[in-house]
Amino acid sequence: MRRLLFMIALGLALPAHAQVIAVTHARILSVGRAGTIESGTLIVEDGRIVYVGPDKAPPTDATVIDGTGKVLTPGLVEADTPLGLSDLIDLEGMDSRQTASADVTVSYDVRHGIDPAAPTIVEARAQGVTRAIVTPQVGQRPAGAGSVFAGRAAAIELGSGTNLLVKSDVAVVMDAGEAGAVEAGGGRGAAIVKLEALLAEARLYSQKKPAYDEGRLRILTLSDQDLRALVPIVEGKVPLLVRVSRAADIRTLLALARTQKVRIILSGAEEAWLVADEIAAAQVPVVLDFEINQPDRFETLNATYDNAAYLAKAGVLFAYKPAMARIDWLIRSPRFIAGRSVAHGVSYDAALAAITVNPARIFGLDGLFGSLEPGKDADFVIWDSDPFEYSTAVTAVYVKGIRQSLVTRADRLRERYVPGTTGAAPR
Amino acid sequence: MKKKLFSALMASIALGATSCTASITDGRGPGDSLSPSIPSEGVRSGLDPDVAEMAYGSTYKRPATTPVAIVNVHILSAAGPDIEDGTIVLRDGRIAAIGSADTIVSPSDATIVPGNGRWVTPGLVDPHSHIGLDETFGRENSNETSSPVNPGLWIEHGVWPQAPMFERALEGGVTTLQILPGSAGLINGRTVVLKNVAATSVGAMKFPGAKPGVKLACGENPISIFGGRGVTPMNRAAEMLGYRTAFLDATDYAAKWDAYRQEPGGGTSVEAPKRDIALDTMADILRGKLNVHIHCYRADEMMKMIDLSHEFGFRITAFHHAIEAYKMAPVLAREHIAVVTWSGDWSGYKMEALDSIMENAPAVEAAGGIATMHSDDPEYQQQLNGLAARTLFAARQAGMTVSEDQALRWITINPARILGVDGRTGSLEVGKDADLVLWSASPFSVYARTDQVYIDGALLFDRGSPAPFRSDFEFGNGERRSEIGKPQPVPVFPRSAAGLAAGDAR
Repeated sequence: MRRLLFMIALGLALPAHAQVIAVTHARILSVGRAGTIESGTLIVEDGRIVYVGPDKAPPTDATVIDGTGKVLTPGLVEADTPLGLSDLIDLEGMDSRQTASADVTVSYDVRHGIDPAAPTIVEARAQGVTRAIVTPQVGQRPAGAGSVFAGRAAAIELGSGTNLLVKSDVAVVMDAGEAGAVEAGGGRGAAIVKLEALLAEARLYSQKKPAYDEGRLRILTLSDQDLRALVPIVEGKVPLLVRVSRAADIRTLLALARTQKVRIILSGAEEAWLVADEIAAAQVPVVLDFEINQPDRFETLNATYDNAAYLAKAGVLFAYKPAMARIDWLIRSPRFIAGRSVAHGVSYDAALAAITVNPARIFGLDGLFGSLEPGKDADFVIWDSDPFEYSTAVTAVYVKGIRQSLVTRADRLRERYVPGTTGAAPR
Repeated sequence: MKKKLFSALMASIALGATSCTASITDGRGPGDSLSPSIPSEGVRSGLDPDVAEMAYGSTYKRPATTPVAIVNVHILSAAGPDIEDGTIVLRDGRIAAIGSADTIVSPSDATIVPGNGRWVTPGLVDPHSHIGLDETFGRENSNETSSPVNPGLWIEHGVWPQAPMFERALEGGVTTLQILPGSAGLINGRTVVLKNVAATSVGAMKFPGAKPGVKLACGENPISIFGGRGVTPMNRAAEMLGYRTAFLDATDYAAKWDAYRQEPGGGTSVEAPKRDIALDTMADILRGKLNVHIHCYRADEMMKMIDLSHEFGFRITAFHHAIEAYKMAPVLAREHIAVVTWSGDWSGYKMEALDSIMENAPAVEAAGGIATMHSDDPEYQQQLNGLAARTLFAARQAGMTVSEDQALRWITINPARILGVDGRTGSLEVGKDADLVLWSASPFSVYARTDQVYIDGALLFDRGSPAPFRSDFEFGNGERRSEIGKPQPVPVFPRSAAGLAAGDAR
């Protein structure tokens, strides 16, 4: 009860009707055209940014937040994450990231598994994350036609509403490399040949839909729903997010994308630095797992923390995955990954872009979010110092101009058991 | 005496001199002419549990080093207050002098390392690691999943010294680490404490004098591995039955050996009990000769394991992972059981890991207990300082009082204590092993990188002049251009409420 009153007093999670908000005198890292402003003002109207720039007097009807001594950034964006999908990994019925179904491969759609009440949502938000590209992963199923496909990814907002979906079908996820080879029944040869065959099937399906519907087409190996989901890929409307590691496999995929005229995004890409110039020339973006520097598979023999620095130098558009995205709740870390990458050769601004505007751009959503620019959704975070530092606290998080609760389940537990601590402390 | 002969013998074995002419002794007499299988009296060496300890003893040799003086550094010693402008002198593998610049004179024969205001800490100690076991390409070496009770397994016999992760851990500042078997079963075998040095055999990495440990596991892992196959333990109650049965057998076995040892004449008049390697480990738990490390998440399960220790009269050294330790911190303090945990970022990946909080370690210590960080993971192992920093600042933001010295102890002297090597490493004090890290920034900054790492005074990692890969396995990997990957400038920000100064990041 006390908490509820407190939240109401702060205006947390209440809808903003024609509301005007201004954050003044803050150090603004806009990640947009306005660049870095030592003392600036952000003005929000009805959940959209209308001004970001040097300090100016806020409108008279504005709720003014004094940002003196504070740092203002866009909300962070997690790319390629299970956020909001499953509370526990590998638990039957609770894991919405994958399926063992053989006739739902390309078409598997994470949007139906997103739970606004998932504790992971507020956990991530409390670390400044406001948007996520939620991705499926390949489930345990027998090697069949589409068995390398995980399914369709979706973009979500980390607000407190009942529908978090921002856009579905932002990519189709698949495995290549060692994992893809295993899923295809063994061997990279099988995986790539199958992929080419399936793309050809999707073209045929798309071109001769009436014949397919009337049963006059040759038998296709994918299910109807999987073929339908693959059509936007062959049409170049939706990208393939390909999990791949080895430099040679990356080259294979670059060539395949060129000849098949499909758009690809590389994910993981531990050895991308060895082929950075080729990736840049092909204008293929990369979502990289910065934490991987372990040669624990033959396809990651050359994994290094310097991967991102090489990609930056080559001019590749890249974003960071949340650390150890394989562990579902370890999703609070994008800002620390960005900070660690600065210590490994990535410029400060490029590191911030890799967890804000770059993932938005890679998935075609930078018109909506990812930077502080007029016209974009007002997703922003107020920090008490350098957003990358361990010692820095999140002071406030706004999604579409609405201040969000940052009280996590862990905070409640701590308040119950650890004397003298409070859940309302800044993060 | 016994020990000396055996070290010599083992050194020769390590060099490949394992022919049938090699002599061995059971340690009861001078005996260097005795054959391996015919001791002069008592039991044959292979049948004597006490011989195993020596046969697999450490063959680590302190390397020859020249003296080094690291000057103008901010020293966090884990043994006293910060020294803002300090000097530390390393000689013959030991810390010869440490103090503020105005009290220490750098010896004339020492190589001077200018610190330029950088940070020095003790070498980091990771009390929970599986490197060398599982990244050996397609071979799972950390778990013996054929049965749930495997106390006879010595995990050192599965460690691959060429594992590439050792040098990555070293670059992360880890100079000492404990390798444990996994948590598939109830009793998973003996652990091993290593110095993070290059070696051909695991014996040459073994930390001399470290107390060996044993790993037990509770909760979901044994149930999912064995219960999933329809064999015991299929539930938590069966797990308790499994431990109790094993300890009952051990009590019986230990009593037989103790009776035999007490025979006048060294047991010559009575036949020695039949040796059982699994029961040797169990009996050593009861005798207090092994540190007992228990993988356990939930508070109620830790309570059950404490009951078990009371029933059979052994002491639990530490609960590992121990995500719910904060719910029972006073009990842990009273029982003198340490907590080996993470920062709370690592949670929720299974049911028993749901209730993780960031402030677990400081909550345990606020109640009078002792806590440490651990990695359990090759990625986290390279950022133990980051785990300590996350917890330190989260606790401060929640209103707790935690010092940077306390946080440093979570990754240095506290784990050293748990591994029984705190007399040698884990803090910077005169006479201790010269295991230390020179950091580019405060170790509590996200931007900190190790610039140099010393073990026993030997400079084993130097970012300024990187050595070729230590592991043979990595020969042939891509050459890296040296100008890439260097720390980039960080803008100056206002000081945060939790209190890391802007300058600490550079």
